[in-house]
Amino acid sequence: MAARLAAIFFTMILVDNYVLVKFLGICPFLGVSKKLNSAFGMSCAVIFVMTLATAVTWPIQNFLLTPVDAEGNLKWDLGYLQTIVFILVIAVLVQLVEIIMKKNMPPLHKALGVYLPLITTNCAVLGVTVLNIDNGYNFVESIVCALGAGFGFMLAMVIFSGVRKRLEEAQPPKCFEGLPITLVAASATALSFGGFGGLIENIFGAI
Amino acid sequence: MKNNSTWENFLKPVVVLVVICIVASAALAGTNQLTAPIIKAQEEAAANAAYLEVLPEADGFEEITDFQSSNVTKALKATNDAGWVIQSYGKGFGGDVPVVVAFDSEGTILKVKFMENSETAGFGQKLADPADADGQKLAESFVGKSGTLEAGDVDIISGVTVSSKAALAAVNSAVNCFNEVALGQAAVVEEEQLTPDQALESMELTEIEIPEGLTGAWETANGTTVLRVDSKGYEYETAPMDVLVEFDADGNILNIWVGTDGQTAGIGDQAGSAEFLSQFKGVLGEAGLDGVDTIAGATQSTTGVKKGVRKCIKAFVAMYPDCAAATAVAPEGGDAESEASSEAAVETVTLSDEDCKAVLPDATTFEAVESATSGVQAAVKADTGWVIQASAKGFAGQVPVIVGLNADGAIVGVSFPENNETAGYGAQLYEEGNEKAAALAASLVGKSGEVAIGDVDAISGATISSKAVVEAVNTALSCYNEVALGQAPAAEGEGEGTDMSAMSAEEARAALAPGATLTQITAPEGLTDAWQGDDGSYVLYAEDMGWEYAGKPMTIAVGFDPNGAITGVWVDASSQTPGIGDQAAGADYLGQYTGITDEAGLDGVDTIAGATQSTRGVKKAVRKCIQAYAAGLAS
Amino acid sequence: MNKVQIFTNGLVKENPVLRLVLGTCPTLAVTTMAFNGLGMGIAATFVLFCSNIAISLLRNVIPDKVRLPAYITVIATFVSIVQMLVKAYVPALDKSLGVFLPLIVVNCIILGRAEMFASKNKPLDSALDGLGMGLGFTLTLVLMGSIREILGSGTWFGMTVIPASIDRFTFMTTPAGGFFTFGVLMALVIFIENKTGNKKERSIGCEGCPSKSVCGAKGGCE
Repeated sequence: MAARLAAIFFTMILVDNYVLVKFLGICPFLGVSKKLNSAFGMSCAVIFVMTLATAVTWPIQNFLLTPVDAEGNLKWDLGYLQTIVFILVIAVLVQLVEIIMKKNMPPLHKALGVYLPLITTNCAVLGVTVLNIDNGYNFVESIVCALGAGFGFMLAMVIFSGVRKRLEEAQPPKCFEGLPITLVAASATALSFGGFGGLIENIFGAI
Repeated sequence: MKNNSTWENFLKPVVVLVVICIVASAALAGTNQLTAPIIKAQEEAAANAAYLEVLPEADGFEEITDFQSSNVTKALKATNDAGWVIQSYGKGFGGDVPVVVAFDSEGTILKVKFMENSETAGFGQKLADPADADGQKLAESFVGKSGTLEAGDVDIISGVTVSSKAALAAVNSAVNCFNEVALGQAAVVEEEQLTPDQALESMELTEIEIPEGLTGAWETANGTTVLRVDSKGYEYETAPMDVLVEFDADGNILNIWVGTDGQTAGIGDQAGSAEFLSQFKGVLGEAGLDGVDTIAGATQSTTGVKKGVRKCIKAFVAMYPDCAAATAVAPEGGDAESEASSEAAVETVTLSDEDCKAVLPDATTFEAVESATSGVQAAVKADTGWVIQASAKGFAGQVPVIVGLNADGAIVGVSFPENNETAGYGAQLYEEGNEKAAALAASLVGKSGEVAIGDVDAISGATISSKAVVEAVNTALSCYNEVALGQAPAAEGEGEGTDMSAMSAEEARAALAPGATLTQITAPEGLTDAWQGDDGSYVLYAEDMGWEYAGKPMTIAVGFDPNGAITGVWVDASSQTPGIGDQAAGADYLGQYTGITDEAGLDGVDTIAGATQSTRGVKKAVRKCIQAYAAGLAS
Repeated sequence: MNKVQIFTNGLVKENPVLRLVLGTCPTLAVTTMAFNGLGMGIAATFVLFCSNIAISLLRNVIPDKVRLPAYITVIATFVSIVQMLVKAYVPALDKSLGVFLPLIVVNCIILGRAEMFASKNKPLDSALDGLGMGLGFTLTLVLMGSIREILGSGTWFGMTVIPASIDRFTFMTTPAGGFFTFGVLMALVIFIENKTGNKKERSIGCEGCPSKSVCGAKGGCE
């Protein structure tokens, strides 16, 4: 059991990295990774929102939208409402969290709060909630998966901000300046993560 | 103004949102109604595609729902009589292993397809991967076969045993179903094993005081007592096993249920299987447990169940000190219920002329004689030879064998009377026309002196029963030596050690120095512990790592009688590989040490191939104890 | 702008992917095959078209405060409808697009255009804008998808175009290849821009982000 959770966690960080392998959360990834501070702050916010969103949407899916009775048969099927329900729940949740944070934890709000609206309409958060359902994880596994996805995001962001710092001193051809060279750098980073395939299975055995 | 403000700022937004949501939901529900049936039809077509893949000659399928065979999800008959397609599953490592099997109308397997499963990637997942050579090989090895199949009939993928066997079980379930729906045979229904919680729910219970060490105690409306205990099984288990035992007023075990959620799927959960648990039924008292065999390969889990039952029995005896279980010893023959777990003297029978002629066809006169060889139920002298019925302990009880010997002591014929072994396994011996039993019997013909299990055609899957047959035949041959050649009769128990594997350390210590009161003394150098008995006996402890990757060493206890001969050896091999290294704690292996008086005696002890490091480790430890004994403790 | 201009705007001048840098996630993810790119593009165009019209129609009704949730709801509805239609009629596409089909709902293009255009313009204009943007998106996706598919698997829309004897440049179909292709393509566009003097300031910071107005960062991203 613990091995399976550890395997899910590390798979999300390395093998199935949300940014560099699954292409979720590219906008903040490319946008916020210039400075290490903002990169770190953004990823903390992402981890937080991902986990919270999973914690809320998983029960909604399994008890409200597609609940199963004791024998595994669907009691009713509202699965087609998944997209709309999830995104609204996430939007409202993040909004609520931001308001609470602003009122009660100003220093935290200063550090993280600014990024919260950015994450609301972000592929990464909706992606992780939908993928948890698709993969058929139970509640604990889903939370672990979300945590892993978040930490994977942080890993990619932090590594990439380091890469971008180096890029600042580089002198690429004129037409590559700015975004294109950033994308090529991201390509190289993604390439390095590609080497993790098969690593987790062989370390943790069965998933 | 204020009203406007409230409406503008508060109500309007909410109202607008709500209206939008309602419209949206309506639109979605509408679209769903439209598309859902189409989606469903597609999923069915995809499923049908799988069925057509295995039976392309079929032009359509008609589903048969009226069947009882276990583990089958769908039974489909081709509408043009091209054959049958049955979807079934077997219990694998991580869950169910589903298969789709196509049969022709006679029951010959045309094709087998393994469906997507949740087994381990790189192992059980190979089955469902069309590109995987091993998976394809296994699937192809089913083609052309018919009837219930054994592991030896197909190409089990090496290293993927549990999943492959699950696939085999799934195909066999499909075969059973085919036999039921196509051939009209009786369904083979697997009895659903109840969990302890389910069993409790079905009984009318009054709670009674829970004895120390147990987790539950009740009396039922029928006057039986139900006791519950947690029992540690596999050393890496995630949860202990939940053992529930029902006793009658005398202390006979009526029923037992075990929950094996924390044990290894496919291995340790055999401790909850009907076959294993059936041994406990009818057991009376702790002595009755001696007859219960653990399952090799699932030793820790099954031993754990045994320990749990022992605790319950002890608690029962403590609650009712006058019950039969308190004073029960290994029961003698004649008590029909406890015979199932007996080890000692077997009941005598009378062999009819018919029985004798069946194994010694050319004999005409028969005269019963007496034999003192233990294990012999009847001995008859005939004009052309001898007919002896002997029995030995099998899986669930005694396995009797009638052996016909010619005047020189060579086996002429063998027959198997009724036994209590498991249906489909050892019970095949007395099944009429059973090919495997006939093969085993035929392989015995011509042998004499002593027979080894490797010399005969044992029934695959019924190893324990087959070994019992061999033992019984050897007993018959020993009897021949006694009655025909006048040699001294062989007494039982020689070289056989009592199985101490289920004992705790203290119990084992007491068993190694029977009758003596032990006091702990300073352990000699090289040993980890030493106890001295008031009669001059000793129990010495040593440690050895055994298997080089074992997490911790084995503890070995050697008992010496007052004369310095080894009374027995007890080993805690829990750190060794289950199913392999823990054979070093087995009675068969450790029995070799009994009676040894000095290091030279160790030369005759064989280690077990495949468990070399562990068994050699025990030998080294025993050597240390012998040396220490000789050096200082021998009086 | 006249109607034609509104339409052609999204094709080149304000191409959502290469100029406005919106919708990067699906661009990178689904362009392993040209067919997938086409499918995604058409699905997104449908959503864009419908949601632009709907939001334009409702632009005077939806209060400013709840703008974002309202837009999201409308867009999500259309996305769900598209999901169901695709699942029923083109299941192969559903399988290959995977999670990106529902993720159209957070595609910056759609939310961005709703915010920047549809909420301020008449339905007909919004419809044309949606079509144009969607078409631009689709064309870019097909372009990227073709490049990656031809180089990476030697096929185009499933038809083998490079003889099997020539080794494939499978790097192209990996995630790294996606980033690379996108980067090079953008460099190419910038190159052309420099030549024609049609430069466009690009950033993936607040400029392209639809949440610009609600975000508290105020330029603190880059």
